[in-house]
Amino acid sequence: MIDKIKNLPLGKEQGRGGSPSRPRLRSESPLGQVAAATATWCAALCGSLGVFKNSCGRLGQPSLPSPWRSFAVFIFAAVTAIGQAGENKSTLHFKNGDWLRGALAGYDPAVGVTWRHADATAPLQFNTGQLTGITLDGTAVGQLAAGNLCEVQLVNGDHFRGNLAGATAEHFLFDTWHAGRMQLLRSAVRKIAPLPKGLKTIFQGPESDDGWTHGKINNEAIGESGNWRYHNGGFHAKAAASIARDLGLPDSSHISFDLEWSGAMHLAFALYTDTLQPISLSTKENEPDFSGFYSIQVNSYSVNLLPVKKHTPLTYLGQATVPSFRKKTKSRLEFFANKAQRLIAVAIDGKVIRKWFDAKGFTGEGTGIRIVHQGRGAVRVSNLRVEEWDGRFKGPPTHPIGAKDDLVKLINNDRMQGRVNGIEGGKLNVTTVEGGFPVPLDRVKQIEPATSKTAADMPLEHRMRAHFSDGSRLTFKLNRWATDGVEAQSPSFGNATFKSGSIIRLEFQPPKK
Amino acid sequence: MSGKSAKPKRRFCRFFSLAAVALGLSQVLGHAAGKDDLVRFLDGSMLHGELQQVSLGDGVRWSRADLAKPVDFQPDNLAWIRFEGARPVKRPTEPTVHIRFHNGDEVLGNLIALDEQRVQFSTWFNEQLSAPRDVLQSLAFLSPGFRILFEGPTTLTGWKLGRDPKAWKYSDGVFISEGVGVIGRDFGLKDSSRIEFDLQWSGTFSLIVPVYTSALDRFDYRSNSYMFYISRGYVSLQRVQNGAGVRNLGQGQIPEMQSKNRVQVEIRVNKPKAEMELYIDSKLVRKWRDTNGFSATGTGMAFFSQLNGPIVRVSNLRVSAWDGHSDPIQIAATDGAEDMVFLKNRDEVPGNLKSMNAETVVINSLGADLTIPLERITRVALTKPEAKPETKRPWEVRAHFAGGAAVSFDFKQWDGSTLTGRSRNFGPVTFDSQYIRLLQFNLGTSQKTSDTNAGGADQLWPWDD
Repeated sequence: MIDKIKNLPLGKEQGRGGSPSRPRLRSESPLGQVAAATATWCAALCGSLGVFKNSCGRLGQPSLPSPWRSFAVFIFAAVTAIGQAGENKSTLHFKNGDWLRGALAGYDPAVGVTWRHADATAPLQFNTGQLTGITLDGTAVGQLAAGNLCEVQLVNGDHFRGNLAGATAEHFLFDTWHAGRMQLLRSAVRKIAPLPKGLKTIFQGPESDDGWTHGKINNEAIGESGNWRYHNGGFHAKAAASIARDLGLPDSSHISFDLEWSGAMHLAFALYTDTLQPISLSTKENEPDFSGFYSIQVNSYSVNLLPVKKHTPLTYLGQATVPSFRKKTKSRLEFFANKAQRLIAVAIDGKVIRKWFDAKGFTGEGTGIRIVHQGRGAVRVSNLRVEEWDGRFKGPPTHPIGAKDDLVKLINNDRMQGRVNGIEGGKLNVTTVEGGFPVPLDRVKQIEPATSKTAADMPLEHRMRAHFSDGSRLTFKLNRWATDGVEAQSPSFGNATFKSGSIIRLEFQPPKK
Repeated sequence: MSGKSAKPKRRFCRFFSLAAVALGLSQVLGHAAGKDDLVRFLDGSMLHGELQQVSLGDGVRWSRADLAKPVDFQPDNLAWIRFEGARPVKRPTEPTVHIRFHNGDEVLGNLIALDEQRVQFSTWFNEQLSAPRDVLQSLAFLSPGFRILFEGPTTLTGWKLGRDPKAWKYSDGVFISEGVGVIGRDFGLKDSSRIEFDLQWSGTFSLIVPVYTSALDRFDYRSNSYMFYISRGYVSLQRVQNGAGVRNLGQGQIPEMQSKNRVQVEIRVNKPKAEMELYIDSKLVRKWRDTNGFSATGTGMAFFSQLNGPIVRVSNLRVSAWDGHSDPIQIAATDGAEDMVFLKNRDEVPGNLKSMNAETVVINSLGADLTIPLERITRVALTKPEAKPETKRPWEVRAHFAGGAAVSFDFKQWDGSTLTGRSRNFGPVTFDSQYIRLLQFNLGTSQKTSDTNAGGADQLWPWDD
């Protein structure tokens, strides 16, 4: 199956049904049409995706390289003032399940949230005691100038991407797209992982369902079929639904996204597919021609990998059980693929749970992905990022919290223990007991600074967690939300002003981690 | 309204003049204090809170503990307001006819007379009402002994919970099960009855509905009862008899449930004949007959959710006494050019309905006037006049009453205990507000918005479909 699964007990699904006469492809947005959004960033991003099809309905390779990370300056043209974009499309969520559409007009600790509703004659002012969060419409992903791009993880679980700009006695300095220069307290930083230069980010979003193809599922066993719906930076599905896009997947790719679910969960992700419509596995020989692809099947307790090819029997490559899914309702999933190594791997919440090596060769022949919800429970896929992959798996930090020295792990598995003093000319200055060493940043796998467990702690009543449109997450005390910026304060980064259109979701009083 | 509670809750001010001058008549509504009302918008948004005022000038004033000050919503995008704890209407006499109007209004009452111009009837809220005949859609005569035994739920009060009291919870007119457990109530079921409810589920569920049982808070094979086993796509019936064990009376298939997650369930029990029928979305699924005779001895019913995980929701439960053979109320609209009289012997008489009173119907059929005793009639359907284009009337609302009626009117005033307005069917109306369970706005569009919060509250599916 993957794509369309018979409604059988979990783990015993077989594909069934499907209409052989269904159209192969829906009309795709040709290059440039995708950029229907007026925002500059969106036009630039979508233009880079190069979605097109040939006369057979097969998907071609992207026609343009992805340029967005190479911009030399911050570009953040699409940040629309709150109250203009997102009018009545943002959502306020309450602890009792209530929710109210509208627009965030402001926040002040003294008065709480000021909310605008189209039918209310005056703005509403809610204190935050009963709020769980706000999902914000009209957000955009900004871009960062070329630099020493790193993934940064804090001791409280927060994370973001930024250019490492330097270090002081107390801080690491990062340039970010959402708040400019940020000073991170050294003891609050758990990990700094430099990202290889030159790897392209192919997709980041979604910002809408433009450019995506909604597939038609014809399978009575699955039940009522529907569509994925775009909402506040994510795709939602409740009934069985398929959505696909040719992303121009490179030979070595890294796909990551946030997955949330309620109730049972059963999804199938087709990687390296050339078909934007779902394939019924049990009747795949009757389906219109399609090239081989991998189906990663994710359900409430396991992940399974199935190569799918016409005229080839279906044989699973193996299953990885994920007991933690039963206790969760959301996770960060990552798929890694490398054609040369015939490798597919899956990581969940930062931990690689399984690597599969396909002995028969790499099955995926297309460059698209397809996400099929099997109609059990409601799901949301957001913060989807597709990028080239250098073939290296990042490791979780191992340096104990509370350690007094910084630990620098190199890509050749060497380790340096001492102090990171700064960065100069693309080289990290590390002082060890043996002296000072300049280490080229591209040889650094990750930095694990000396940390303090409580460095990022803040009282629950002040705690607010922001989820950014690029998938970043930061916890802070919100001092003020206004059209000209979001003023926040945290033990980790002190004071910062974020671009108001950069935050896609705010959580009130989130749990500590 | 009576029931004006000691703790004043809602205040309404009158705001009604051409110059839109507020009169500020703020008084108290009579719903029970401490209840959580709910306003819902056409986009599915919803806010619990407290209705403080409705005025033509300011709109709907809503307050919540976490709102710095009450907010006034204009009615343009309101779907409805649900009032917790609405009381069942008090009727001076049992109704004999269900009257439905072309605009969707419906009342239970008693027919006084109908002629070629007007229909006159009495209801619980007015002893004599008159409406133009052309607004009338149908009259369905209720079976003898018809009585609504229960309509709800509106609270957990009066219900018995099983060993796990958290297995079922009540919220906004819905019983929600998220685990294994039972909830039941004694309705005083004596003779034949009809049990109707909306059933919604997620995933693979299994629900047992024991009827005519005395085991209200447990699953008990020692109680004499009938148990309907409902799952996605199937229903089966078991007779449970103390000392005699369990006997499976057969299974019915409901393939429609495979592609849905919400259906309307109706169970009809004819006690003298020991016959039971189950309908899904008004379609008969299966009829059972217990050849041993009716063996259940209880007077209540229960819902027993058997599985952990899937969510089962039960709402719009109505239990009524039934004569055992009459078709329940059927809303018989006629698309033809003629009126239609439906007889108990299943004959149908088309023609021009000339008059009705408490005893007879006169219909001109094929050129001759026929006089038919009312006792031989089940229902009457009248022709629909040509629809006239209508302008939007933002203050036309429909009040839904606990006990089965819905009346629309142009809102005029709510003085705290009494709601007044003007019905386009029968002129000025006045209602005691304690009986109102739902006040619907934007008639037509808001029909599509579930009145029980089916799905909109889910953050992962924030839409009402």
